[in-house]
Amino acid sequence: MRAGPLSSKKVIDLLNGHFVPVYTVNEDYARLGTAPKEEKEARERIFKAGHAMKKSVGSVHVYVLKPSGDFFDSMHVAEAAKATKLIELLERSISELNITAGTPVVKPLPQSQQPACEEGSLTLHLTARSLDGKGAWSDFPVENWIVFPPAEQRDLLGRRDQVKEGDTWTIPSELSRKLLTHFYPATENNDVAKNKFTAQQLSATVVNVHGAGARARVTGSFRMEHSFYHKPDGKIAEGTVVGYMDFAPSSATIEGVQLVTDKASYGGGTFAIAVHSVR
Amino acid sequence: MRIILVLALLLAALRLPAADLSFEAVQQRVAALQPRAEEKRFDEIGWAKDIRDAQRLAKQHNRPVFLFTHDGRMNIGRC
Repeated sequence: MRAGPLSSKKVIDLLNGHFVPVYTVNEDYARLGTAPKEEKEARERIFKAGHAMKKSVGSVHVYVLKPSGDFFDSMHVAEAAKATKLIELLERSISELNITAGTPVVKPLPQSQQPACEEGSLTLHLTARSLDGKGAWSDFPVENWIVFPPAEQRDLLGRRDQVKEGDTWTIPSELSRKLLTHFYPATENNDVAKNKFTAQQLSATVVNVHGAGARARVTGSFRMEHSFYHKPDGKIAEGTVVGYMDFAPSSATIEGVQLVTDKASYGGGTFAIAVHSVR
Repeated sequence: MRIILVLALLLAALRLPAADLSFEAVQQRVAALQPRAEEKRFDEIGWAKDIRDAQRLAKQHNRPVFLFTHDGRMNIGRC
């Protein structure tokens, strides 16, 4: 949907000009999901109303509700993913509900937002991009946010408050795993708890010391099983990593990170990862 | 034309072997890999926070609600 109709100018204009668009994540609305009880109940009421009206109802669907909140219509994602079909539903809804065009009710904002975190945390933004369209989806790059609170930054820096050029250390494996587990291209399966590392390692070497600051070159590699779909398929994401980390040894504060993959592969295709810090 | 230029820069940045990657070269590669505006057109839609917020705004502005329910995290593309 995101790469198809939700990137179509016509659909974007129809949604912004006539509707209140909203999307929900099924995992959050599951019994143990993080959505508030009232939200889960609101979605359940929509599903029940659709069933009562003998409309198409499912977990990956498009629904149109009247301004009153009553159920109006729905469409399975297989149909809605075709822009012409979705435009037809939107235009019919506008016509039958007699909706006049206007400006967006909600101001459009970037949907991938830096997560809230403890003060002093290091927040990393990761982009994964298929390079050849093989073995993974390649419509658009995918993202992750990874947060290292202050205590973990100290461990990333090898727990030393003074450094000199040439100092080297291995980043604790639980911290390198926390970062590298997101090093895979766009796949249907995004449950990183299912990833199985057969090898992973990151190490840092100080290449420059200037006043109170220092720069370390970070290198490493990873090899992990990551299934494309949720059933195990033996597919492997692997590659090498190189980058730099600017830090203040005395305060164990990481001021900047830039990392990229070199020759990363998955499922017969190649991909690249870029990681950078965001303050 | 702009996309072709960006892709050319991206490919050029990716050709450098890791051993030769200076800080500036890594920075360049990071920049080249970032999502581009045309890959995030979904951000041009004014999305409500959740279903109850959408229903409240729908009543207030006499607009229908468009609800998309899905697996994964569409906001980061991991879906």
